[in-house]
Amino acid sequence: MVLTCNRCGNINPKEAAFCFFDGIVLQNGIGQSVVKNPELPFPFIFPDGRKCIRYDELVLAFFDEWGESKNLLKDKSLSQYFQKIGRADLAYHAEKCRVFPNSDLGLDELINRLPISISIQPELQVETERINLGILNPTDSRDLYIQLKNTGLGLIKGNAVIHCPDFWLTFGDAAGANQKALHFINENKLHLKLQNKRLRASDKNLNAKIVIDTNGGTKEIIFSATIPVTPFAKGCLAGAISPRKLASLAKQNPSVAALLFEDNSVQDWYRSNGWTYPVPGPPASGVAAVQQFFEALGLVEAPKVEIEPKSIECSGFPGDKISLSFTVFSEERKHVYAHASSHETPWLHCSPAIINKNKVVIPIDLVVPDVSPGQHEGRIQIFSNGGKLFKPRIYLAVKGNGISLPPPIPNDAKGMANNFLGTINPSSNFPPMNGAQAPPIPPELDQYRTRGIPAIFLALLLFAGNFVALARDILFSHTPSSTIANTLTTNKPDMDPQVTITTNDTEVEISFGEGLTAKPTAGRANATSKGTQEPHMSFGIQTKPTDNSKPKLLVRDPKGFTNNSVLRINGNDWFFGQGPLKFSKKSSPEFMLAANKHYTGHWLKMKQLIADSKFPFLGSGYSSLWAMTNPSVEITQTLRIIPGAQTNKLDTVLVRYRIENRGNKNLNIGFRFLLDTFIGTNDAVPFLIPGESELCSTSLIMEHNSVPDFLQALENNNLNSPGTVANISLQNIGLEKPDKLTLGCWPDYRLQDIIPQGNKCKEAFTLWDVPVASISTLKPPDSALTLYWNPKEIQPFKAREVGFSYGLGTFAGSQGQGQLALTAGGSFIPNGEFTLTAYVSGHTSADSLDLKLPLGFKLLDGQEKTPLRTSQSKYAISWKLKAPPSEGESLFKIESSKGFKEQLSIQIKKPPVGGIFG
Amino acid sequence: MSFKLFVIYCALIGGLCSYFGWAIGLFIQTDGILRAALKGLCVGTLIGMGLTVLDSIWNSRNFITGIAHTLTAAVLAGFGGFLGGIIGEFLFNIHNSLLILGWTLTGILIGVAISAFELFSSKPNTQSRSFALGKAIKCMAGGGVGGLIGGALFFAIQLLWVKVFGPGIFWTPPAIGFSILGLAIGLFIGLAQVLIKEAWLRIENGRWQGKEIILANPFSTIGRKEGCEVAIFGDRNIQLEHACIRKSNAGFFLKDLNSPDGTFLNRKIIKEETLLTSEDLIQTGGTRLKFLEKTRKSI
Repeated sequence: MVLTCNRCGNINPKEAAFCFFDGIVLQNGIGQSVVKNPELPFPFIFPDGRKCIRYDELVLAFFDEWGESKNLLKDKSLSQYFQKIGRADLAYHAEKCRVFPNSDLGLDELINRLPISISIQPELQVETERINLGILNPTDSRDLYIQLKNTGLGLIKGNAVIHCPDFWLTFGDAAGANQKALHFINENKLHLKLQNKRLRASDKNLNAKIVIDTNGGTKEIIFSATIPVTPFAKGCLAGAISPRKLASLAKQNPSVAALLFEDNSVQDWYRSNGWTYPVPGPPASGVAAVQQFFEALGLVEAPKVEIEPKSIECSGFPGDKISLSFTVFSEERKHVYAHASSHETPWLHCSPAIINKNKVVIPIDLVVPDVSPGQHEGRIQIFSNGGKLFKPRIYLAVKGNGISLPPPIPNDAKGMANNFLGTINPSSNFPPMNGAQAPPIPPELDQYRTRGIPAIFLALLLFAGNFVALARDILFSHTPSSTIANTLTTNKPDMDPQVTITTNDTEVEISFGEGLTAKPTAGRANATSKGTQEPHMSFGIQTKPTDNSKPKLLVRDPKGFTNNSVLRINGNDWFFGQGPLKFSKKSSPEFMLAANKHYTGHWLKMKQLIADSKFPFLGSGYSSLWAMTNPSVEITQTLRIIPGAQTNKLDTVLVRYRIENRGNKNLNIGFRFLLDTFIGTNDAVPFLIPGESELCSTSLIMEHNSVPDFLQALENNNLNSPGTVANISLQNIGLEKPDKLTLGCWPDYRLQDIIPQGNKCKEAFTLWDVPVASISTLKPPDSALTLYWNPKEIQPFKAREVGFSYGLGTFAGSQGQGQLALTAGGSFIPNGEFTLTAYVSGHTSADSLDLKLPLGFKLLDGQEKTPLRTSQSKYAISWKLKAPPSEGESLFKIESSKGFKEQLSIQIKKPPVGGIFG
Repeated sequence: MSFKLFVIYCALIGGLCSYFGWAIGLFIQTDGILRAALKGLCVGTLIGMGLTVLDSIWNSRNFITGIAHTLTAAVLAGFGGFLGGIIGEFLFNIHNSLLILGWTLTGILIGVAISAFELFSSKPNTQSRSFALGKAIKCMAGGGVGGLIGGALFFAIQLLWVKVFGPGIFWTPPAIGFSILGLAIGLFIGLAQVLIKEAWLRIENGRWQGKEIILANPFSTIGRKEGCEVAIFGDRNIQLEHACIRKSNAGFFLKDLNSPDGTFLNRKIIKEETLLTSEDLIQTGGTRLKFLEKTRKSI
């Protein structure tokens, strides 16, 4: 047997005392009846101390303290209380009501579940049931509030509905809403709003009604208002109080009325009365405006309108502005009006329409957008008579883009007609508008174009061209071309070189005898150990005879092995071009250390060919780069054949060393060059030194200012037939002049026991100091020239350039009959200083020598009439001269009192600047 | 092309042509006066050619006229350069310091030679003669100034280079000197045309928007035919010869040449020859041109 709840109808077990679903006391088989308002097992006490001992008291307390009760429901106090008193059913409901979205409704639901005896019946009351709002204005916007009250017990629940045909009255808290749900326990304010946009002037009253339907009863509130029509006040339409009246007035005088339509007076009048102006879009001009209004009111029939062209194709570059137009027209004799909108396509801009009776032109400005090249489609909307809507399409072919805009060069004849920029190709043939007005003037020129780019390109090209010239000068002008001897001439020399350069560019094997006496393998020492080195890149110079005779050496060894160069860096001596030795046999570390004491570095570049140059006229040469790591120094050795000072032939070798400090500290760097002089077969050539009366055939040391600008050596000691004349120039533009010069015997090992400091004589392995001894100390005699550039402080990444030129010299002796000869050396440029030297033989102290000085030359040192002396050997007389400021060829003549004569032609020329245009 | 851009182009083209003229001259193997003369010839020819081509493009000369003009200017300017080289080298041989004078003379000769074509082809006592004369004076001034500055720079840089590198043949001094020479000649030739102008048209829309065309001839035809003084290529709504502007003592008159779509002046179609005033807007086809005129003392 089961028990059915009389209240909710749910089935409960027979043992149940209360309905599980609604908590009502069940009437079981024993005959129990529903017990209302039972006593609570223990009192419920509110936070303010109010005590409830029965359910009725509890419910009344809920109504009295509604807000607090909702909190108790929310914080589970009620559900916990019901749990404690053994009413799991009520606790369940309390928990269910607790999670209601609206706490008012939740508490109300719980109250309905409680076994109470009191009747809960709310009752709705309103303040007034009829409200007259009086005379309103269409511009009014007003808020209204209606007070609602609950005079009964319980929560009022229901909804309010506004019945208003024009929706001029709505609920205020929801714009435009005319229906609203409401609930409240005691009282409520209903918020209403007058919608001014929906207020329409009329000769009739406005009415509205609100129906509030709740569990506390249904109420109606009636609203009424009046909005009188404002009459039209202007012109021929004055006094019109309705659109129809206004139309009838306009019909009587359409041309005058049209002005009121055009200036929007009519539209404003409509607005002031709250009416919707029937004409969409902007007003037409002229009588068409009246036509437009009549059509909108449905008073006349709209003409049938068409559009031309249906679509337009055009093309252009980004930034181009293209003017297009569409024409709306009608075949009927009625006014046509239209207006356009282009909001769908941002690159189209519609201008106001130009109306001409039954034809309307709508100008469209198209600014080609900066988008990727290709076909693009745009669309505009054109509204015309009778609400006709046209949507013509505009096809735009975007060419290129704004950045790559080509320069505005006219196209050639074949291309210009068909495929050009900004062309307008209507897809249909619209008749020409003869007599019509042209489209309006476009706005200001756009600034999108980038025509400056080609100009920038040209400027960059010009800059680059000049940069090339600058780079060329910087890169190539520090090569020998810039440091050529001041004897360089602008005259084209015989470009067939008279001398050749031979370099030692193979590995060198060195034998070591006792006491580290080093010799080349071909040397005479008995080798106890052998080592190899990188090529020395030492060089030899020899003449290149034009006949079949053998070439003559100008240094002892064809590859310059008997010469050597030494660097003195911070007091330590290092051989230039001679790297560390590698020993094939195992040697002791001490030996290898001692053997390599003065060898460091390696070649970074070897024998790089320097091509000959036509202007300035220079021969070919070689450049090699020697790098030392500790200390960090780089030396570039450059050898180049250049024209001789007076011969104007490629017969001289410019030897140049560029020594650069590559470290990060200042270094004291000096350079010494030992030249084993030799001419043909003569290894003991005597030297002519300008200013010295005797030829040097013994030894000589000259330092600083006494170092001459040049030296000469004769192959034969015969003025009639001097053979080859060698010229060593020490003064070269761009190169430091040596600080010290020594002439003497080549430092043969044999000198070690003969001369003081002879132990320093180690032939090609002699270090910085080359002991000076007479050329004829050894048999056979052997002469050598040593040039010193004393150590000088060089900052990091700074360099010093030293060197000399060595080649063939000039010698005039054919007329002197072996008694006189004449030669010159020095600077043969305008205002340059040079030395004229006469070789004298066979004269006595009774004789004298006259120099005939050409016009313009200034004698700096010496006399024009020089007394001679008696001498068994040849001797020299020198004159220091200064050249005139102008160019020219001059003949220097000498004549002795004995009647011997000799002459020498000297050409003074400017350094090459290449004429007026370089 | 606006006037400003035209002047810039003139200067740059002049500079570039002069530079390339010098570069070509590097291959000359002769020496002395002939060498200088040939270098002057190269420079003058290229400057004359480059500037005249630009001028022909800007003035939309037809192909044959443009070629004739260019060749004549190139030959004359080349001759000017040649002569300048001879005189300059002669002066230089007298004294180094006369180098600048030599350059100045060379510049003047090249400048005059470029404008000689227009000077000789214009009729005496006409507006075009005065236009050509004014242009020649400015070209001469440009050449002179360019030669003076270029020569001075050449001299200064050459001295500096000799001091730094020692004597030699350098590229930088003549490259910079000739660039400046050409720049100045081009600049003055460009300015000459722009400053002498009396009236001009400015294209307001379309492909040639911003282009300014001087109305130098008694009749200037507007059309898309090659050879029109106001050539507007690409606008197919413009006839080959659409309208013309006639220049008279009273001013400039616009006339439609029976074009199908007509010619509009200030948005109204013209039916007869109409006097133009500055800022008038002319519309031919889809192209609008603004007529601009210098203030006239009397009409």
